[in-house]
Parts: sequence; structure tokens; C-alpha cells
Amino acid sequence: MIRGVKLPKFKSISKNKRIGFYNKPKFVYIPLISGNDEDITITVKKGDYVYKGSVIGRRKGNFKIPINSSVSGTVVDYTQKVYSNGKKVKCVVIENDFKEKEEIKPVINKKISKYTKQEFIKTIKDCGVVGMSGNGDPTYLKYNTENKINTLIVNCTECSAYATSDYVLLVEKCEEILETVDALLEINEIDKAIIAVKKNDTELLNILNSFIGTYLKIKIVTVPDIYPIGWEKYLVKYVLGINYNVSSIEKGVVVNNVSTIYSIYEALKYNKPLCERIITFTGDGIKKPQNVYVKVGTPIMEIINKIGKTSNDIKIIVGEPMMGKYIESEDIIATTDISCVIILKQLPQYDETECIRCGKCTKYCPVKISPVLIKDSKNNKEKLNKLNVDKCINCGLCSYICPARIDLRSIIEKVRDN
Amino acid sequence: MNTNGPFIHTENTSFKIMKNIFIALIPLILFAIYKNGLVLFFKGKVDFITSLYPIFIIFICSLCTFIFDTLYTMLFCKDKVDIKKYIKTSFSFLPGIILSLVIPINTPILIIILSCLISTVLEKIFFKVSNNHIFNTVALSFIIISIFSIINGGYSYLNQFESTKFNNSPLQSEIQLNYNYDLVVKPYGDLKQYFVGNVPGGIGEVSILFCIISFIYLIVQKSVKYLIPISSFVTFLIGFTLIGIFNNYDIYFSIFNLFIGSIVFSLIFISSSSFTSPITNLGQIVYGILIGILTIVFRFVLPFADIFMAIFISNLLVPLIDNICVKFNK
Repeated sequence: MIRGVKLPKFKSISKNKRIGFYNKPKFVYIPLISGNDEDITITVKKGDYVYKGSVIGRRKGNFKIPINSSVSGTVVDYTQKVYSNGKKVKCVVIENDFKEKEEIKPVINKKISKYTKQEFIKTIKDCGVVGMSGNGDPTYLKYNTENKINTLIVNCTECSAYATSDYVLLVEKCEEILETVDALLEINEIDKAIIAVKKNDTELLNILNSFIGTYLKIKIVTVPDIYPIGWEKYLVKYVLGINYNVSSIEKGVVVNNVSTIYSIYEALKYNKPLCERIITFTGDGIKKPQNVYVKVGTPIMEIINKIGKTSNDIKIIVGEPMMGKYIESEDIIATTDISCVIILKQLPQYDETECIRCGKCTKYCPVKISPVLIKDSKNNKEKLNKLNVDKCINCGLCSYICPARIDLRSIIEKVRDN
Repeated sequence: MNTNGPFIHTENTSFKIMKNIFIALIPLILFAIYKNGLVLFFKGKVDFITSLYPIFIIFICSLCTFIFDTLYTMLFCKDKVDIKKYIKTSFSFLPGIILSLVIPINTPILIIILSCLISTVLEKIFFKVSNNHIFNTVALSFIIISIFSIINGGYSYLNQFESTKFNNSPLQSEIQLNYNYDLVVKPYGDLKQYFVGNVPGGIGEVSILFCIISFIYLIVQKSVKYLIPISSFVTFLIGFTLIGIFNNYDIYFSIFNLFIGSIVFSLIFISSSSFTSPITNLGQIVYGILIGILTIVFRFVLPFADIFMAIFISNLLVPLIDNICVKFNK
């Protein structure tokens, strides 16, 4: 049985607004991090001229993937900026010359479905395509498998209460996304693709239905509007009835979200590296909530100031409201894994009271652990092992549902870290 | 300041849950005042001031649990707890209201005060030792009152009007006469009278109708662990149906036994108490079945406090039930 709750929705604030563009930052700060790996080889030095899309660093180890510049200009410095996880990371500072110069690359003059698998893997690897909603692992890893891939699931559930970046992308680029899905099926000899959409998302269903007619191998499957249905393991379980241990590839299933599919499209069609994305800027602390097309490395505050604040003292939450992070520093920068920035006049305050042992945290936990028993046993290591603390996915549902407002998510995180 | 999400929360708070339980009790409180006060006044059995006695009992019970709970917290937990906030959010008068609705109308006030004091202090001490709410204060208070009742020859459940018509409550009749529809059930009316609550019993628990309405309200408001009462009801009914079959009793036997002795009220408001019941769905079902079985056993062993003894013993097993059932939480 799939467990979850229907969250309150604040999507209408930004949903049907025109996509804004913020493509002229004076400086960009390209973070030298890939996924959570900060072990990066820097390939540029101060004074170097870089093009838009130039490789400025490369992840070491097994998952080699480039980090690209999002502007053309001159490398002027290295500095520390705040990444989406709230930690400071080393960044390459590039002064934008506003010329948007790109490296001269061989023109790709073929349909995107005509790539061989090797060409496809190489292209998305060289373009630095990474997962744009999860932990930011390189996308080519999912396809670079000897196992037969049976199913591609396109995750259009966007179960955040605020984010609409995937929605607007799908509305604007539905044809391109379907073309890419079809190409992925052909290139990787995948049997079928399933587009997972929430059943009450009628606007999205109408748009997809109006374009999907010619794609016989692509099906739309509706899923319930509950959180965290967008979690990969849940989605695979709901759509295909399959459980897996570590990765869906074990069972021949690949899951990509809409933004990742579109970045694959740009890589295959234009050989364009991943250095821009759409981010939802929303909340009561901003004058015109909207989706904005931004360059990776752009200071978030610059974009907020451009849109306009409703108060001088704003609070920034990076990510969605369940798993996101409140960032006190104004040094936060736009990265490929940020789909939403919530700007609030003030953070909601909740008074914690005594646990009434209602059991709701246990009842709704998607990984079927018992947060309240973990809280009770936080000093008993033997008992904690039996309570499967390691299975926690940090979805925050236990804290959300707790009527006593106990921050169970943080308690479990601390227990696990210890 | 917490920097991690979630930054949104469900609207259902502990305060709302407690408030909903209080709201669910209101029809039963009003029924208690009507049955044991207003009816007597309108029938000319008592004067107006005396007709307010049920209100006085309810007030005394809730005041006792509130004062003893707050005093204990002020004296022994003042370092850990913000007293003002505690008073606002603890709803510690609720157990008192629940207790007042199940006790006999003729329970001496001193005994009520004493039972509330002992149960509150014992509950708090065991909580301090085990970090678990082991005992349900209401069940424990009722057991203490029952002990005093036995010592003092029994406190009558009959109000001043009922005492002119009957000698005993239906449960007492069943104990003395063994089940026989004509002798035990019929003198108080048919089962419809039991369902409506027009029979002797605890101060405000006898109306099955109002109990069911309150239960539905609590389910709709997501403020009750409904699996506990439901599994207990089912177990109790199955058990008594089997006993009825073996003893050649009529089909009303099981329903009658369910309707008397505060069973329905106690299962809804006492057995399902959040603090003292299991957290997993399976645990709640197991706990409910256990209460059902123990209630059947105690009806024959200790009928005056059967459901309360069943809840009291089941409470002790909650940590064990939780630890076992969490493994099956799938």
C-alpha cells in the first residue's frame, strides 16, 4: 500500500505566469561540486577566457562528469559560496562579458533519435547532464548499463507544494520532451515509456494528451496526489508494482524528471551543456512570483532583487517546503538541483508540545519506520538498529503530520548521523 | 532555529485533537445533566439546586484531575515545563470529565478526590520512571473508586428517580440473577431504551446513541485511534455471542452485555486514549482484541470494573505490543 498525505498547494501563485529570464548576471559563481562530491579537478586558472559551456572543472573518480561555465567571460577569482545543501563550497568566479560566446563545436545534423547508444552516452556525459531533482548524479549512469532497460518513467508529479518549474517547462516544451522520450526509447531499445502525472493535474493531462497521439510507445499513467509520490522508489512501485533495493536499474527501469529530459534534449539537439535551468521563485516575500530561466552560478539574491521583495527582511528556503533548507546567508547561488526558491516574510513558528503517541508518524511513514519509537529510543543503539533508522529518506512527512509539532525528521537525522 | 524542512504542517494539532475529544463529550455531558438532574427536577423529585448535582460532580472530577496534574508538574517538573503553556495545552481536565461520566451518581465526593489524587500521582511517578504513560488515569481512578465501593458495600448507580422504580442497575441485576431476558433486560425496557440511554448506569455513559455520534465525530475529525474500539467491539460481540450460544441464551444476550457496564463509552473514550495505547495499526488491533477478551473474562470475575481492569492490564502491555508490532509495520 502506498502511504502519503495530500499537501496544501501553493502552486497557483506561480503556475500560469510567463517564464521570466535572468541571463545577465555580472558575475557567476560556478560551484566546484557534483552531486555531493567536492573532489573536482579545476581546468581553468585566473585570467583564462571561457566560453559559455566551457569545461571549468571535472569530477574525479568513477563518475567523471564536466562542470561547465554558464556565461562567456574571464575567470577572475575563486571564492566560497553557499550551495543548495546549505554548505559553503569553492566556486570559480567568472566575469560575464555578456557576449554569450560558445565554443565552436561540430554541427549535429541528425535527428536526435538517430544517435547510437555510445554516442548518446558520450554526449550527455560531455554535456554534464545530471539529475535535476534528486542528488544530482550523472544521468548517463542510468543508461550506461548492460542490463536491458524495459521501461522509462518520466516523473511529472512535481509533488512539492510550491514548485511549478517542471509544469511550465512541460507546457512550453511538450513536443520537445515527447520527442526526447521517443528518442530515448529508440536509442536505448527501451520497450515503453510511462509519463507519470498526478490524476488531478488536468491541465497537464490535457496538454500531454493533445501531443501524445503519434507516440505509440509512450503512455500516460495517473498517480494519486499524495506526498511523496514523486520519490523514485514510490513511483516505480505505484506505476509498475516493482520494488527494488538500491537503484531502479536493477529491475530494468529508468526514471527521469521533466527537467532532466529537457536537458538531454538540448544536449542531443544542440550539443548544449547543462548550465541553465528554470527555477520557481515564489512565496509572500516576493512581489511577482514566477518561474525564471537562470544561469547556474547566478546569486539567488540578485534574481530576488530583480523580481522585487515585499519586505526588507526576507527568509529564503531553498528547495521545496518539506525537504528544503532555510538559508540564512545571502550568498546562495543557483544550481542545477534547485527547482524552487521560497521567499517568505517570516518563517512559520511552531510550538512543540508533548508527544501524544497518536502514531500518525508511523502510520504515514513511506519507508515504514516508526519515528516516535526512534525518538523514544534515541539513546539505545541496540534498539535503534532494530528500528531501521537507516531507511529514513528525510521526506519530512513525520514532522509534517505530527500534531505535537515535534521535529522528528531532525531527531532521526541526528540519531542516524551519530 | 531549525533550518531544515518541513516548513508547512498539518492543521491537525494536539490541541485540536484534545478540543475535539472535549466537543465529542459535550452531548454526553448534556445527557448526564438531563438524565440525572433536569428530569428529576421536572418530575418534582428534587429542587432546582439539587438538580445541578451532576454538573457539580463533573466539575469536581475535572477540577481534581486538572489541579493534581498541574500541581505535580509545578512541583516536580517546573524546570522542564513552561507551566503557563502546560496549563493552556495539557487539557488535564479531560480525564476528570471522562471519569465523571462513568462513575455512579452516588459516589462520595471525598472518594472521587482521593481516587483522582492517587491515580494522577501514580501515573506521573510511573511516567517519570519509565518515560511512558503506562496507566490510564481514568481507568485507574475508576478501579480505586470500585475498591472503595466494595469496602463500603457498593455505591448505587440509581439516581433519585430511578431508585423509586428499580432496585439495581442492569449490570447488578445480571450479576445477581444470571442472564434472563424477562428478569434482567425487560424490567428496564426493551433494547431501544438501552440504546437511547433511558436505563440506570454511570452518570453520563449510558446513551449508546450519543456515544456512537461522538465516535463518528472523532473519526471524521481524525482525533481517535478508531481501530481500538472497533476491534474491541467485534471481539466482545463475538465472545458474548459464543457464550450465549453455549448457554442457550437468546440473541439479545451479546447486545445487552455490550450496552451495559460502560463498555461502549469506555472503549471509545478510555481505551483509545492516545497516550496509553499502541502506535501501529496492527498494535491497535491487537490491543483492542486484548481489551475485548479481558473484558469478557472480567465480566465474570470482577463485573463492576471489568472494562477498566481490562484497559488497565492492557495498558501495561502496550510497550511490548509496540515493540512486536512495529516489526510488522508494512
